[in-house]
Amino acid sequence: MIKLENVSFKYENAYVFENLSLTVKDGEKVGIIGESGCGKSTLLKMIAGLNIPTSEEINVDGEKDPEGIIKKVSVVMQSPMLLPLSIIDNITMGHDHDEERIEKIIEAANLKKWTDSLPDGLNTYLGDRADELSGGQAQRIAIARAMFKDAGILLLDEPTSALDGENAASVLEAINRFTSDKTVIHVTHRREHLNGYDRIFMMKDGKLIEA
Amino acid sequence: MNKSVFKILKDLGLIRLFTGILLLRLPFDFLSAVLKANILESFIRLSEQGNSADLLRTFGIFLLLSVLLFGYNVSIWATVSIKADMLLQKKLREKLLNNMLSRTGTGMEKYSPGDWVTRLNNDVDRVNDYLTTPINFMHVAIASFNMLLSSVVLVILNSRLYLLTILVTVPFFILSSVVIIKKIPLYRKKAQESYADYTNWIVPIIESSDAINVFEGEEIVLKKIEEASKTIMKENVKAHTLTAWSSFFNIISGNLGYLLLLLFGNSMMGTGINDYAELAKITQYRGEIMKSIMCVNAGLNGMKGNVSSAKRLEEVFTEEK
Repeated sequence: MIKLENVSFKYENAYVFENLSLTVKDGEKVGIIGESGCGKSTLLKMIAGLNIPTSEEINVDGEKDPEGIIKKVSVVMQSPMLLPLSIIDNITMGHDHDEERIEKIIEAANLKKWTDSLPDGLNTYLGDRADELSGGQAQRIAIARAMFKDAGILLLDEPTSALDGENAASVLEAINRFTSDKTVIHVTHRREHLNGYDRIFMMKDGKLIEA
Repeated sequence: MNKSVFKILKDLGLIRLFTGILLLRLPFDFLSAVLKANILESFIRLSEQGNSADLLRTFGIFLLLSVLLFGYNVSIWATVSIKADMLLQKKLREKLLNNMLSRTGTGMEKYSPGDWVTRLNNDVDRVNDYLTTPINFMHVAIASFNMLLSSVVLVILNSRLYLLTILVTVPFFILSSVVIIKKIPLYRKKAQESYADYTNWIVPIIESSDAINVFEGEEIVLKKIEEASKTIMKENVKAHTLTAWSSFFNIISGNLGYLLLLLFGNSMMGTGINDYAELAKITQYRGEIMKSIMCVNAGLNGMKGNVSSAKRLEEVFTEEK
């Protein structure tokens, strides 16, 4: 369960949001919509333990310490944040893995057809210009990375905003495939991407209003 | 001067300026050598004669000449050279930036972002070092000029001693300043390439720090960065080792020269020499030759270490954008 009670966050002396409360039950899927710059991403990063609240605290599965919270969540951000490593290292981040599980993840992330076409397959080095992969490929690698971590909570920050319709659909399909039993908070400005979600909030003027 | 450095200077329109500075600085070491040799000769001679009045007057003259000579040298370094140094860096960075800005996307992709940063910062600095900082091109030229003219003086004063000096130093000079340091540019080039790899990690670390945190990627990132920095160190150590060997043979050459001088030089030095004062003057010129050879060797080491950067910049300037 994720619990925020009267949490505030200040950036350069101005509050991004103040006294914000939100409770997300285990397995619940929550969407947050709002205009650009309203603080949705800041809130998501705070839930992930990447931003420290200015006042009060966050409780994620009983964990209040940001370092502990980070261990309990997976994130897929707007930018896939790939590193100059091979595809497999970008997915596993150098952690031990078994081939069978990786195969399943590659399949579920809609990466198999593409990686099979590469001469070095999953060992293809993404190089110093990992950002030059197509947006869809890069984002699917980021999703595969989130699948590999297999945390109970998945935080999505506009994962399809830079993608065209077909790629966005493919990425959303990959996300939905592995989140059936997970707690999800999905931040987006496109409400149609939140179909089937349990609750949807609108973020405006630093407040969350159930839509 | 290396042809890549010459071409860069020519393209920047700085050949005349650097030639001017070089010509102004060129005679310094030799003039200093002449001054020192004559100070020694005069002081010893006047002391032997017990002529204290002339000794004081001579001291005053040499002091004045030394101050003027060093003042002249410092003025050139401090004003003209520093201005030339700044102008070179400014023009070279501008040229490289203009080259980058006029490139197509594919042209930019020829080098990684880290490689561009390395060329723009480190390589430009090294070309500047080659041309303006001590123990590089300028010192090699000045020391070579001193070596040449001191050799002429020594040949005139005592050709046998000159021959003995050359017989010992030339083989060692070839070994230490030509053969041993030959591979330094290659190792420095590899070090610069690894430096570029290392720099390539900076942007992803900044941009992907959240992903590194959430997915606990610190270990693999640190491992990869360590690999890049190890290669930099490895290549630099190889270059330093060659420099050390080069310096070792240079020192051996100097010491062996002294030993031979002690063993066989007595009769040679005595030939045609009137007094101890003249002998001191002659050995001073011999010392200047040895000092210049050491300086040329050290300077060549410095130049070899920096020349790969000039080649890396020339590569960018000459290829299709």
